[in-house]
Amino acid sequence: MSSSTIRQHYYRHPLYDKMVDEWDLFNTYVDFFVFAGSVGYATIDKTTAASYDEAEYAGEGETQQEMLWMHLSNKQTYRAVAASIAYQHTNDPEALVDPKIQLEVLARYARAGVERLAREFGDSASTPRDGLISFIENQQPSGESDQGDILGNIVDSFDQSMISD
Amino acid sequence: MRLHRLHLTNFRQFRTGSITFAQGGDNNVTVIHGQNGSGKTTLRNALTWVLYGDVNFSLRPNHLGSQGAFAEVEPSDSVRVEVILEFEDEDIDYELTRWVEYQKQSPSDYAGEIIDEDVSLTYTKPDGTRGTRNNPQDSIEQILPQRLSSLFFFDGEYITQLSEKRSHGEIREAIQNIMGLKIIERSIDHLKTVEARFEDELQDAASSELKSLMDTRSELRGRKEDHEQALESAEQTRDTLISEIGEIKRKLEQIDDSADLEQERTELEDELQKVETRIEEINDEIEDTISTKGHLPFAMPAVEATAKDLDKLRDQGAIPSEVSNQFVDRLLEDKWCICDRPLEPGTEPYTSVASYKSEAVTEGFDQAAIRIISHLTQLDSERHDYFETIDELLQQRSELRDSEQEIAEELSEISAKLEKIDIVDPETGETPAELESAREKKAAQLEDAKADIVRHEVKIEELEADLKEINTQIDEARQDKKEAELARKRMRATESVRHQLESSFNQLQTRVRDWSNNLVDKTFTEIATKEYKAEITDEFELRIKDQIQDEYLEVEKSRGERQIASLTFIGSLVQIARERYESSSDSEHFSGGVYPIVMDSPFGALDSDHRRQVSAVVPRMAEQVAVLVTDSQWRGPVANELGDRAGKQYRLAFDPGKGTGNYPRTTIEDETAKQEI
Repeated sequence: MSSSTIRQHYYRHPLYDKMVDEWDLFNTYVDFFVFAGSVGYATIDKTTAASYDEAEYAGEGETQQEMLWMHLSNKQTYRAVAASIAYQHTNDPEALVDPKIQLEVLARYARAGVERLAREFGDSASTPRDGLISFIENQQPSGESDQGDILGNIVDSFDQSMISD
Repeated sequence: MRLHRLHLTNFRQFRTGSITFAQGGDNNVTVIHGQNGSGKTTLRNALTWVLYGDVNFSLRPNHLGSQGAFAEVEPSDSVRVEVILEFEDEDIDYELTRWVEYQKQSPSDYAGEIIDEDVSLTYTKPDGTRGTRNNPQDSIEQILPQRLSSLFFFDGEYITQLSEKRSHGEIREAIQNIMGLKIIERSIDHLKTVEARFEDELQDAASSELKSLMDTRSELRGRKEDHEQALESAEQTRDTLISEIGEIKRKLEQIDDSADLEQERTELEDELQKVETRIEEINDEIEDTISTKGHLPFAMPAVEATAKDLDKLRDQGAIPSEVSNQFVDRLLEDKWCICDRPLEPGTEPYTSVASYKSEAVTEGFDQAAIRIISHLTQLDSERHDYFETIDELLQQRSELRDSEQEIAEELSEISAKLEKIDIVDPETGETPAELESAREKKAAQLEDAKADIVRHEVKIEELEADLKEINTQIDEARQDKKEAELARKRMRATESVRHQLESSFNQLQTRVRDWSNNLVDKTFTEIATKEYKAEITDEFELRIKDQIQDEYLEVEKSRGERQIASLTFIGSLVQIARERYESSSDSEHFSGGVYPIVMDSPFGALDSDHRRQVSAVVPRMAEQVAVLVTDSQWRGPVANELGDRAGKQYRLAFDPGKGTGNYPRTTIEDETAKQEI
């Protein structure tokens, strides 16, 4: 199957319409899907994500919509995020490569993420822009961190052994 | 149609008096000037009353009779109010007379009760034949349709409305009126009613399920129409309020005691507008940052953990997998392991080494790993960027909100100062305090109207979604009953005709718009400042464009030009009507005509330069033009520009009639002879 035709059903909570169409907080449904997936990853553990049955993460009836891989894969950073979350969820190298696995895993976490976001912002009468800023702010790493150095070293190591080849 | 003479008897403050209108050529303008309240608007109303029995007075609209005339008669005696208009149309001379007879009810009754009234239209043909039209009102409607009278007999307020930013409603309506397109619009409405009737028939013949669905649809449509009407009404209210607030602002700018404060307010409002726009832009930037990078703080731990896992695999030699596979392949080929053991096929060491290859290799794994690693620093940097960008934008927004607050306080102070200025302006008879209080009230009403608009828009959107859903259900529930099918076909046919009519309507409307636009552009370019261009946009808005900057000018910066453009627009309609009249081809809807223009106070609050420019437009607007103007507006550039073109000139001498036994009275003084000397 060509990767451009790969698609995955996902649970389209009414919050998607609000966040994208009503409040204009996200440019596209894809952007909010990735955001919800990322929030979900930070919210639940992999056992909970794995325990969702298909109707829960893929939706059913009116709550079921399709996400096309081609829309998500247009953005390199989204591909890296989707691959990383899928790999962390499965511990399977295949997950780093297979878009189908990545989409399904992201749909699982997006379900958890949108539920969390709906609890926070679902009842907002007007745009929850500032609330969302605070919500994301809480994820900011606190204090000085040597994380940047560690990541830099990894990149350097790869450069030496692979990328520069 | 050419106006010859207007004669009034006991009409409002006019006991008796006549105006003879200037006739074409280079002296086609009739000027009538007088002080405020002297009766200019009354004269315009006398014209609409004699023609259509219609008046529009803000004070005592039902009192047509002269107070002086009532004072002179005894109770139960009668007072006759009469207006005669002599005019010519298509070489036939007409005399239109409308009168009403009032009976005085008591010594203090100055209004009377109507006891008789009539209208008559007599004519004299070129061969001298005389006669009386049996149905005078129908004849007048054919000569000058009432729908056109508002276009050609207008006041300064109408010009201001046309020149306002949200004038598209008026411009569109004027264009529809001039071509008689309102008739098509009514036909479209009628077809909608017919469609509804066929739908009722369809409903009668339908199944109970379908009936129920159609009932629901009717109910939804009804609710949607209610909201659409309410929305239209709220939009009109909003536009009217904006126009009225603008008018109050102009008055405050003109009054010496409030001019500086009003000027300061205008500057602050401009500044506030800029601050608000910038806050909106910042909010858009915040939203875009959230949308594109907001996920990273949540997703980054997964990316980092994956990068560490991949680094571990690299460290173990599993990545690059192709290199590791080649290495394993070579060992198997050499049949000797690096642990110094033989690797014979079928033996346990051989299987074990071979398994390294199959376990480690996933097609594309190396590329995926490289993709993650190569974006690692970018993702980490974007996460940092996210927080930095948001912090910076929030800081900017906070500063702007402080400025917003300060400006709001300054505006509030200006308003408070204006509310204390209690000096009556001799020109308008109002105080800045009264004007400011009215402005505040209207500003509050405007906010309510805007909120109503949003509410109705949201409701309409919801109902449209519901209707879409119910239409799908109706399609699914359709049945094949013959009667239902016939009604459905009829309904579809009517719908199709309506769509075609709507399409023709829009095409005609656009054609006349283009026509008028060309005429406006031509006249405006000849008269106004060369660097500007007047344009009727696709949205039927009258706008002024700076030709050098190639940008539309804001309303406040182009008021004079906009008023000139409004007048050229009305002039273009007169010209379109005349061209249709002279054209040999049959008009689709309107045979046109030659019409005069009567304008009351067209100079508004313009400065002297713009008054002069407007005065230059006036004689060109129609073959016959009558201008009613205040004494103060007449003096200076207007008199200089129009004086030579005025074939007839009158002054309205007003006596307020203070004291016992005296009543307000206006006398019409002919200044033409004086002017000629």
